[in-house]
Amino acid sequence: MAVKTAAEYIESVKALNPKVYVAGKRVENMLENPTTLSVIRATAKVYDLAHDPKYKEIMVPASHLTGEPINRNLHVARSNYDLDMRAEMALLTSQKLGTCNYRCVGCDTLNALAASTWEMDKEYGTEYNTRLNNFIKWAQANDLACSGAITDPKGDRFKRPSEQDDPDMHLRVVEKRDDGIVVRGAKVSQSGAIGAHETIVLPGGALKPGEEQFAVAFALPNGTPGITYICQYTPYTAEREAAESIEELGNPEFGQRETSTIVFDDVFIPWERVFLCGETKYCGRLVARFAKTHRMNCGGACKVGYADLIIGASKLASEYTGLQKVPHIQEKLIDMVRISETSHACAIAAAAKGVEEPVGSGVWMPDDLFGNVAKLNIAHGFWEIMKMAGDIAGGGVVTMPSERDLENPEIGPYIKKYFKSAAPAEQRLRVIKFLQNWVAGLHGAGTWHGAGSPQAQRVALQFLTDWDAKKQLAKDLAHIKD
Amino acid sequence: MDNAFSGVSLEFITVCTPELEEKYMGLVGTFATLQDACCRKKALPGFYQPSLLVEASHIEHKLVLTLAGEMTDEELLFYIDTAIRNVGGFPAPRESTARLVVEVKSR
Repeated sequence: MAVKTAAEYIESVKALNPKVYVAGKRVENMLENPTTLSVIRATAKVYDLAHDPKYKEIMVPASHLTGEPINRNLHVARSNYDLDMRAEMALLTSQKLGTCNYRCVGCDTLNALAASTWEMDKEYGTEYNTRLNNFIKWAQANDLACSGAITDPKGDRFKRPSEQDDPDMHLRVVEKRDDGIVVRGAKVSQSGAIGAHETIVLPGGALKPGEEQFAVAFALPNGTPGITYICQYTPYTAEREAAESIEELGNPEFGQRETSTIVFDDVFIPWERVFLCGETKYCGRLVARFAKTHRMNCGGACKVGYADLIIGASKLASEYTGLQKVPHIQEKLIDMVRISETSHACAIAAAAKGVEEPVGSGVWMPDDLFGNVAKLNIAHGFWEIMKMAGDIAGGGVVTMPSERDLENPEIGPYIKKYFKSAAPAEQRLRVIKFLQNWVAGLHGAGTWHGAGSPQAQRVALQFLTDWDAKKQLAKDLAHIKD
Repeated sequence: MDNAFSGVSLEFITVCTPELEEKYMGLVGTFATLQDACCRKKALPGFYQPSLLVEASHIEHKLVLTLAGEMTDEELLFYIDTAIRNVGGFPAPRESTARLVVEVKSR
């Protein structure tokens, strides 16, 4: 079966040596660096989930190209049920990892490309869909971890790609050859490419005629010379580097969502791996298809999974401090559930209301309105959830001592004495440390911007809402005549 | 050939050292990526020592590489195996027919 195990994935990664930097130092071995190891562990866990019989329906569909069982992260949705299971996978992986399913963006790029390449081939007689399907079959047969890269550095936001002083601010084609293209530029805020076998690259947004050099989509192996990964660096990176044991950390195995800036220094892509080159007309549509899929999964499922963890930990924290019957604590927990499950409901609706897009392609896309609402709701709601979790956890969520203090023979007894509440100090400190990972961590801003910042969803809703229909409904009932 | 790869448009590459030979496969374009990396970027994929790749030349379907240092055939294969995996290739069955050739030696 092509569905690989975690061990097989890790074995395959050992042979890969992409050019990765963390805090100015090149990572010689990703399995030895604590930051990159957390990405590999998380990706490995996603492989493992596909072998758990409890999750087979969610994680292992049949390929529409070969009929073989595959990991859902390489699946193209062909029905509303497929969309629902895709969202369920996002929920499950978030619940089990507490961080990014690093194969998620790659999955959504493949789905968007499946729709758009079909459409381009129909209009232009190109071979993009054939190439894409060949790539997907190859990826499925080898169960490759595919990440996705979309966001350009952008430079001066008031200027179009073609107006930038430095044209490299948006990834572009700098040379076309008989055997392929050469690209230059960068993609930022990219999740998990360092632990992936391949990265699928899309244009960063809609483009106009005259901007053909920026209209490019392709897949490339992550060890291709010319690519450099510059990892994010935060206090959580420093904490993980300094930890004597991962048990000191809030999310010990899988950590925070790790991203990198990917630099493409005149990188060669053979034509077989190019899925769009110069077709500016289709860039906006392609990115919009990616966005609506990713917003359903990210906003309505992934962050709901995180919320499940936060709610569970908050409930534990209230029990460990003896406050579980206090009414305002119970109300806060209920509100956390309300916010989270509202977004979850939107994801379910986005899947249920999804349609074949474009008609005839066989590719199913989520409902645009519900996908955007899922993300917009959770973008605001996640801060509220964390606020309430911080309230329930108490000030200790940011003032707590280290677990190393607990182990110190001189001061450990003080920690055990003074942090004991309705539960032993060790348990209380552990759950507060877990909540610190969220409340004082990176996920608020990550949720805000992931799958597009809220303003992008607002713009989408402005266009997706039938304002005239709503006005007419009001006029009809209010007997307003024009 | 594993049925999992039926219907996939692939290319096959023979890697030869003075004494040993292995086969690899990848999507069409894998050989071109390796050739471009070695000849234009002057880099062996997966390795960053500047002086490792002494020479790289390409004639039609053959890529000839010279690595620095006195290496055994096993060591030469290790380097090219890593390089091909880093550009998306994987080992292929020995009986595969390969039109494309990577010849590697050291000095």
